[in-house]
Amino acid sequence: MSRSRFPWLVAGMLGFMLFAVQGFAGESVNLKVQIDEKVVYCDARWPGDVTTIRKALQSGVSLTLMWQMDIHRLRPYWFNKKIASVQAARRVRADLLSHRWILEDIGGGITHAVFSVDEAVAFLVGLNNFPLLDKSLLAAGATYRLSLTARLVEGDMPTNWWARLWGRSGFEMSLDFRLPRAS
Amino acid sequence: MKFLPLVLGALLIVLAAWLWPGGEWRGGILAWVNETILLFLAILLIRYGIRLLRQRKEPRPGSRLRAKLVIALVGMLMVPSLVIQLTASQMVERGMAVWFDVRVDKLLDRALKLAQGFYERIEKDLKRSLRGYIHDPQLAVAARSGAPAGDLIPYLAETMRREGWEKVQLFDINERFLAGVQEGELGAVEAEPLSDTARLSLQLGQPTTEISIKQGRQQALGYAPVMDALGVAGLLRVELELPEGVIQSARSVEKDYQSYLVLERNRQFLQSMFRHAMLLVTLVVVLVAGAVALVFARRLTTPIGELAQALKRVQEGDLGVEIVAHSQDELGSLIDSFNQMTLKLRKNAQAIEQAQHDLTEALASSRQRQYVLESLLASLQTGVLLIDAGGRIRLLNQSFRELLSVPSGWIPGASFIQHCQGFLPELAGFYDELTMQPSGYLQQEFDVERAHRQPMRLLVRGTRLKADDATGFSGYLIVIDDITELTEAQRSKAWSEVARRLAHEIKNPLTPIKLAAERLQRRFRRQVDDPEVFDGCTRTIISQVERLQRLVEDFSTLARLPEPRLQRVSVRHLLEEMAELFHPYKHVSVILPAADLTCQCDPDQVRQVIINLVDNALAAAEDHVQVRLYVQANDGWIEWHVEDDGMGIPADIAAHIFEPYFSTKERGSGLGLAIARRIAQDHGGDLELLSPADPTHFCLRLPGARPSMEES
Repeated sequence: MSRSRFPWLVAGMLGFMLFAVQGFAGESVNLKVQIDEKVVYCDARWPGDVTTIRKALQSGVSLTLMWQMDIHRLRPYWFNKKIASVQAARRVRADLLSHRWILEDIGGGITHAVFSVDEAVAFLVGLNNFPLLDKSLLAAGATYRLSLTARLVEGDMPTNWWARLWGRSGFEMSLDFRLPRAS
Repeated sequence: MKFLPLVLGALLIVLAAWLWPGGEWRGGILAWVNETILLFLAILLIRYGIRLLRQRKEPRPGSRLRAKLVIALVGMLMVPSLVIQLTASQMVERGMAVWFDVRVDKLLDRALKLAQGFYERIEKDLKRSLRGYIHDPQLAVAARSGAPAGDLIPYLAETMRREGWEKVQLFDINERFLAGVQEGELGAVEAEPLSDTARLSLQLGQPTTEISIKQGRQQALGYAPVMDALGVAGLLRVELELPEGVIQSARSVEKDYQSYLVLERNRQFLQSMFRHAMLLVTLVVVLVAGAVALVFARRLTTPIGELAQALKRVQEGDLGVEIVAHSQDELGSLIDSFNQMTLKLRKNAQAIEQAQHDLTEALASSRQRQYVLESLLASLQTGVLLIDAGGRIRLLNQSFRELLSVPSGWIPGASFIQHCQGFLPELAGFYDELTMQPSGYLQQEFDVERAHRQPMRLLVRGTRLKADDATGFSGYLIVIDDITELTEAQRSKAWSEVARRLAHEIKNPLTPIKLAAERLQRRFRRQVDDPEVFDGCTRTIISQVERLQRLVEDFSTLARLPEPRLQRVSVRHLLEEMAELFHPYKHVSVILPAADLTCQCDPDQVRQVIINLVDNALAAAEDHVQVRLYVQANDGWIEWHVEDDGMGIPADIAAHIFEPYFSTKERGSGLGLAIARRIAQDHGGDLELLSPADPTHFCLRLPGARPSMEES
């Protein structure tokens, strides 16, 4: 193999690997953006199999669903500009001694217990009216892209950054939206 | 062998497809790293295989050896790596089977159930005890009134003591703390906000319990609604101190159980991850081994390739090639030896080239000399024969072949003695005598008989060649000259001298003798007794004298034959004269030529020769025998042919008919044909006897008139 083509081949294979590790963007998602007078919200739902999550919770496994939401302003001939980055994490811990499920909003510090697994599943897999950012940060008429990464972790939360590399991959979703021009 | 990289590449693609991450457990980054490496290796192998298949010309020197070395080294490492991976996979699978054994599962489950049972028992007991206080009137009154009575505290203390609780508190419906007691420190009783479990008890109207860990102590908390006739009036909250370590043990069992559940759920993932990790190690080993093998093979094969390339260039004749040695090992020594070899080859080649140049020049000079010698020998009228010491012919020129008419077997390398026996005995005898000569030189003359022709007189000279340092050749050189014409000329000259002397000495006295005889006849005829006898004698004297005069005249003619006065003569005209002259002879036929030929000759002398030839034919032939005279033009020569169908000339006579004073006639002088040949030779031609009989055929060859002369 000629020396000039070998780096291109290596670069191509690395690109393939990075693409593969990044997960599966563009899968069927439930992602919506809601905008009121001051705040931009989003509704998101875990696109994976909920039955598996329910069975895991019923069997006593603790689950944590981490959401990573990034908002970029799309620029046609340049890199997109990052506007905001928001993280959210929800954890459902099974209390086997009391037959309850402890629901924890890790970011907000709110904890409460439920006795129904459906409530626990609904808490875990959905984000409803989750506030993303202040509307004033966005320009009217411009196109923005909400990129959302959901990653499910079983058991204890990993403390090392590289630990997620060894785990299963999550899902990526994206949605383009635009602020309506002021009339 | 060419398809091996393609087969390996296909196998890697199949392996990549088999290990392709899918499903819920995608294998993480390790799986994709492995996929990337597998596809990378597959592309490399397939690309290499395609290049091998499309390769038409001979690959670069050393590339095959490099590929074999890389394959050998990678294969050498791949085999133990695969064995280790298979063994480790088996061990991990067996280990995980042990880890996730059903007995462990049951053990943990039972431990959890034991902990759950402990808690359930405590809660059940607590609830049962609390149920007895739901409708307690004293507590209900206190809760409903919102103002605790004075005896409420002792009542609560008595209740705590009786039930074995550590703490009892009473709240009204609005969750306001009314009163409470606790074991030990009375002043430490504090109002705490109610939990959801407590509110749940108020909502349900049933006792509820919960477990709490506070300040390192485990407590079972019980809530019971206090009810009266109007409904729920307040809430009784009690605490029961659990034995130290029990709750921790229960939570620990719970945590271990959950960890076990996670591990069990991740069992497949763990196996997959371990498999991918081992595969990654194997692939990394292969990549590293391949890279190391490639570097090693390149370092090893590059000098070999350069050496092979250099050898190819040497094979093509380029001796100026030189390789730079990059190492001092055996390969470096080999390259040094190669450079020394090429240096010697260059020097030898230069020496050979110089020698070749010298040889070429010498050969050219030798060829020039050989060419000059061969041309000289070919142009020589003298026959040259070279015989080596072994008696074999080494060289003979064309003149030798033509002079002696040697057969085709006389070639260089043939035995001279063997070929001479029976063919040229005189020459064989000369050779024998030459070899005996002490002086090494011999000269002889001898005649060689030729068919229908005068014998050829040969002068043969032989010299012995002695070997010296320059040539190294020894043998005999025999030189043969045809001296027939020389001898003939000498003989003619001698005859001319004789004729001149005879004419001078005899011609002068003949006239007085003839005159005296005639005078005797005139004056003394009448005086003699017998006039007839006298007349007979005098006539005899006169006739013999006249004959002697004619004879002398012929000798004189032969001796002083005049120079021919050459002129352009019409052959047809001359033949017409001959036809007119021999017209009385019916059996003489003169054939006129179809074309008008011209001959450059003296017409009188030619006419004399032709008349002589025809006279001889008429004299030798009978009346009915045909005599033919005709002319032919042949290659610039005009040939006068005289043929007769007579008895012919005997062979022994035919050889001498051109010699002077040789005649078979009684009254002939024997000079006719000698004079005729002399005339022909003076014209630059010749007179030959082509056939002695059947027919007797003479040919007078004279030069024809040149075109320029004809034009003039």
